[in-house]
Amino acid sequence: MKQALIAGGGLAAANLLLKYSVHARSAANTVLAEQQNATPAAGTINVKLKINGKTYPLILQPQVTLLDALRERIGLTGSKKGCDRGQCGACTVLADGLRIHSCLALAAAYEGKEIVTIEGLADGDRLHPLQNAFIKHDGFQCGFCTPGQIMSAAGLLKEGCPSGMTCGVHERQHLPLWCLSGYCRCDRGGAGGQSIVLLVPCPQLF
Amino acid sequence: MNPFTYTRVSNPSDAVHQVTGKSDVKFLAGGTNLIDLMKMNVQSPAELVDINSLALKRIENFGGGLRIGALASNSEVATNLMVQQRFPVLSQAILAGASHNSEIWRRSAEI
Repeated sequence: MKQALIAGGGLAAANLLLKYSVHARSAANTVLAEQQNATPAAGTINVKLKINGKTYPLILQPQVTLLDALRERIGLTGSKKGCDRGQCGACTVLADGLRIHSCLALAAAYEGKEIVTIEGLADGDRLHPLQNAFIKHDGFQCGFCTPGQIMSAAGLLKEGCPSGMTCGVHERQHLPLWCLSGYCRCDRGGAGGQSIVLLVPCPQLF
Repeated sequence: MNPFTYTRVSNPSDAVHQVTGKSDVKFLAGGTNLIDLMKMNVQSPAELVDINSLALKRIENFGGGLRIGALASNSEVATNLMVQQRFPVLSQAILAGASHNSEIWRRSAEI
């Protein structure tokens, strides 16, 4: 019964993920069309952001964070604003392959970098192995922190374990500590989700 | 966060030029402290000079010790082999900073 519920929930979640990414692409195309021919008003600057392989020419005030640019200007709302203070990790994205808290990143400072958000992990309709693992093994409850957890795990797998570490954190059983992007209110600090990373067979998945 | 002017520089002389003679300007490096404080209006500089493009990340032998670039991140310093072998307390101190789940902070925060 539980397996059926989880399987059904997993399929439903997978369908939601696929539909969500299609919606995000439509919103993103609208913003791009509006910004292409506009002239910056006073106090604003031109910022070209490369998100999930696509370039978005935006006109922003310098104080706009990368998180707000993603969510409010481009329409990619998978990255969440949890604390807006760099403490919860729900806003985690990759910049040139490294994990960052997008809430503490100025959008203008990330022009020229390759940004990957949760929406960019899937390859078309094919979910990333981490996304599949989280669905298959029920690695989330409310799901709010989940994009940040998955992006942090994806970043860790891409970064590899730091060379020369002597405290044992390079061992696979320590991976969850390095994965943990921040805080989860539902699932024992995200321990359930982090354990998913141990189930991913290959460390070079990204 | 207050409105401010954003400038990105690519060499040290431009960085110095951008702040010379000005009182309400700050360098932007990792931003983990500055942006956080600006969001709370604790700090409100009128101008930010982004120095992240400067080649100041190197960790190298110097005069019997190590010279650590100002833009080297906490994680880069903590995991550097020379730091671990010759100044292990520095590595341990950095890794003890923030909570155990703050690897992202350590990767963004610069020395």
